[in-house]
Amino acid sequence: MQEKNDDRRAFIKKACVLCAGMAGGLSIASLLTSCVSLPRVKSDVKNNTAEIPLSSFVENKMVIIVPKHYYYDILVIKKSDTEYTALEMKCTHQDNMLVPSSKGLNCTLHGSSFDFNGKVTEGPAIRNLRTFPVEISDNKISVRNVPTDY
Amino acid sequence: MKPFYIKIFLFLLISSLFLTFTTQAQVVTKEDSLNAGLTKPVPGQNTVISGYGQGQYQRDIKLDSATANLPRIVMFFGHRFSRNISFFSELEIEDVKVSGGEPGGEVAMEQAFLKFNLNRDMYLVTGLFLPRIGIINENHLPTTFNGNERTMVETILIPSTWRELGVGLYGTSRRITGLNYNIALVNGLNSQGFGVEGMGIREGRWEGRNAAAKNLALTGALLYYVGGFRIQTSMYYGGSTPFRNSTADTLQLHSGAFGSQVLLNEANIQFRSKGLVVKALAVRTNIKDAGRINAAFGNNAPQTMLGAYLEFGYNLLALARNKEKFESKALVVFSRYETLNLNYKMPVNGIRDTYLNQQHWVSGITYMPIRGVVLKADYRYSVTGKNVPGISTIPSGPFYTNKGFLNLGFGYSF
Repeated sequence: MQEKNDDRRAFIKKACVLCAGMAGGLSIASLLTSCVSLPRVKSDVKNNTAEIPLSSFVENKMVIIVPKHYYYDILVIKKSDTEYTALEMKCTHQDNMLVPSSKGLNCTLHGSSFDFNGKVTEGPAIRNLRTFPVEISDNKISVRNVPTDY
Repeated sequence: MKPFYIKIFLFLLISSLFLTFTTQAQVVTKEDSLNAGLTKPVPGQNTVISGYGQGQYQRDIKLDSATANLPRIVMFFGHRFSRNISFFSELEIEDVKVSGGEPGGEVAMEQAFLKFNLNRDMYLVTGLFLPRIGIINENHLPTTFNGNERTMVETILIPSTWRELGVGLYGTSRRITGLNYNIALVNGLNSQGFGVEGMGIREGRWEGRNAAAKNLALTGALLYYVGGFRIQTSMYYGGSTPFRNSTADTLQLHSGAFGSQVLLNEANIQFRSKGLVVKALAVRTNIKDAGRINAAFGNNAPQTMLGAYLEFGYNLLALARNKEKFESKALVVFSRYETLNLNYKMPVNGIRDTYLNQQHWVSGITYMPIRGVVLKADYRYSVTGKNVPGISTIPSGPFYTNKGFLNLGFGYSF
């Protein structure tokens, strides 16, 4: 009798674990299918300026600039037709490349997070992200002061 | 008197000349010149020094005893050799003081590895590093978790900080924003240490010290950021027989790279929104040949261990009207429930240690006056099964199945 009860308990436990696993798997799968990758635009850096066409933002509010002579990517966020923010995707804690999500930028190394204004939302990072001046002219977005030495 | 002043003058003159000469003589190598700040740093190179640490006062309410300690002080040294090659290291001193022949205290490298950037989305590490398993193992700075103590589940079941020697590949998906992956090959465990002091596989780690590398382990993780969620799942699959075949045969243990394997599966999820932080983690460890290991070493190794925790935290300053004023501060109230059973399944030759079936409730406050500094106060209420005489490893003094601990402490990282 005791053995039967144990078997039943084990079966119920396994079934619950299986259901939880399936539910988790399904929700992860649905999240994955609903997500979209951010467009990446390569750019030369001349006179410490990276340029990308304004048309890059027709269908997107965020574009990742991949500077040719600089290791870290730059996330450009369209706040309005006249206002853009450019953030260096470099964690201020230990210089790891950041990963974007729909809520901000995250560091996979130690868990730091930043919002789309570059402010720290989760440590251990202490300093906010570096921002670059952005100018709009001739249907181009120009990101200034981009380093080329790394 | 005059000869005395002349002597003093001559002494000072000679001393200053000597000091000048020796100072000049010291700056003869590049290293010395760099240390003295006399040469320009090489473009693209830089050295970083940082660190973290924590201090803790703990009062055992039932036993009416208390301890004060600095559990860990860690110094980080990193150097970037070039755009693609960097060195990272963490030197840890546990319990402040290490004295020969006395228990307690430890000086150890917590990490020491080279990092090679393969491209913008992938990098390789080699050396002593922390595999991506659980939450605390990689993100163990005291400013990043609530409570003075690290979670029990991630101290015993996932033996953080769990570092091994090997090679690891880390990457980020371009196609799916927020998805990250890693896979690593590291040295395996030593089954001789399993079950020791009821600490699961913790005492089976080599931690980089003359690690036997005949047996190996594979670890891998998927980490996904979506919305306010951080979702991760990881596994560890590794051999636990570090001996040569003839020794293993004598002990009747399976040998080879993945002989007498340990399989650890873990998943965790974190959610953050408007001051609310929820963390949940579950882990299962299976030691396939626990019976053979017990027969060989008599260490009462378990076959299966289970553990999980759930934590809610809320930053009260998120309620403030002038949020910008408090953006670098936090006042978090939190509560955590942990359950772990380190003897969930025992082999036929094992003795179930009911003491290792435990629940812990931790509630408290974490105050961050500025980023990088935390002050913590919490209360842990622990319920365990009964101790098994001769088997259970319990703290000294009378045994209770339920105990309360008051913890006060601080932490920093920079």
